Amino acid sequence: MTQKDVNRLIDKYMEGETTPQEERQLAIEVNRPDAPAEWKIIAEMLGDLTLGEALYDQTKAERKRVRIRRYIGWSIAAVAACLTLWFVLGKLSIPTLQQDTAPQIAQQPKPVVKPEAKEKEVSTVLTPASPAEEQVAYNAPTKRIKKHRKNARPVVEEVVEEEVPMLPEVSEEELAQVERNFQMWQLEQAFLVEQIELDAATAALNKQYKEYLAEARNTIEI
Amino acid sequence: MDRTAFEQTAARLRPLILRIGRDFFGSADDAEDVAQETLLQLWRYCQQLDESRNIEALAVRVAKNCCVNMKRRQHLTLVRETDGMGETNPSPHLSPHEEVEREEGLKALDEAIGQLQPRERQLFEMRQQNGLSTEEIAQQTGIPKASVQSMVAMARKKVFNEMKRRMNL
Repeated sequence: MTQKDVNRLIDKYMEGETTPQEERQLAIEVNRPDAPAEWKIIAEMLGDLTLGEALYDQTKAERKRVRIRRYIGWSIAAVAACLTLWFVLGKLSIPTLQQDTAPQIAQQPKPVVKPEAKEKEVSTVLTPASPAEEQVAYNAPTKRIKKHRKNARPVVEEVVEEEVPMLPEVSEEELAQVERNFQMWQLEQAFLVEQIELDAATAALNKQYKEYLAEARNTIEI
Repeated sequence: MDRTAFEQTAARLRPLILRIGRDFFGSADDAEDVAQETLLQLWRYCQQLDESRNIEALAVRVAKNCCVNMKRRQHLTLVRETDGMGETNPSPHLSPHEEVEREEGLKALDEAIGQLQPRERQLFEMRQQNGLSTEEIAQQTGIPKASVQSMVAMARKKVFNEMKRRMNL
């Protein structure tokens, strides 16, 4: 409270307009050690009882504030502890779910998606998963795995509900052809490597031969 | 108020005073001390007062004062024990010079109040001692609220000017 506020409150007190609450507040202000001399008269007029009551109320209010602050502090600490626990438990449960879910997705029979179907029509006939289909079902929808982890719903339902772009069906012949091409490419690479090594060996031999010839000529000339 | 009347009043006020003490100290023993001291001070007051006064309001104020004074004493005793000093001065928070000033101030206040008209004096003391609001005084005395306010204002101005004159300010 500023000196101006105190003076205004003193004027109010002198006019008999102050409430008992305001008089208690005024008692604290005018009893300060650095109060002007005129304020000391007001302090005497207000009396010790008013000051005592004011100090009583002030002490109780301060204790209440401390209690509230302590309560708020403990509440914040409790919320922080709960959040930390939730976070830690969440972190611990994710790897477990990943380990549990991935093999299930790979092992379950997958629905056959017909590539020629223009709209989202999925065959409900379940067939045993071929290696190619397994690759499609396991690699393409990473999102579906996370979704499945959250909702724990069957994989088949997820495939039907979500709009995930499906790869076209690959026939066994085409796969065999790709495999043959890959083997051919590997053979070509191996052949090229051997060719390079052979060239290097030939060059070394030529060099040795030239050195031998040069040495022989020198010997003959001597 | 005679001794019998005070004993009856004290029995009625005791639970209220104990509650104030317990609220402040949180201890039944300290609350008992507050009740003892409050009733002793009230007895001193009541020998000077008539039965028409609101003794309950006065008891609440005196009890709160006792709480604050006891707390202050406990704190000072603790400080003195920590400093290795005995308790020698009953009011150690005031220096001798301040004690003299305080005595003079109280004397000036008593004399200034003594110069008030009886009605003004009654209303002034109801505000100062009992801590009653203007509305409560109006209810108890039957005087209109505006009149109570103007009479209290008049009394305060008279007391202030008289004290100022006596204290050479």
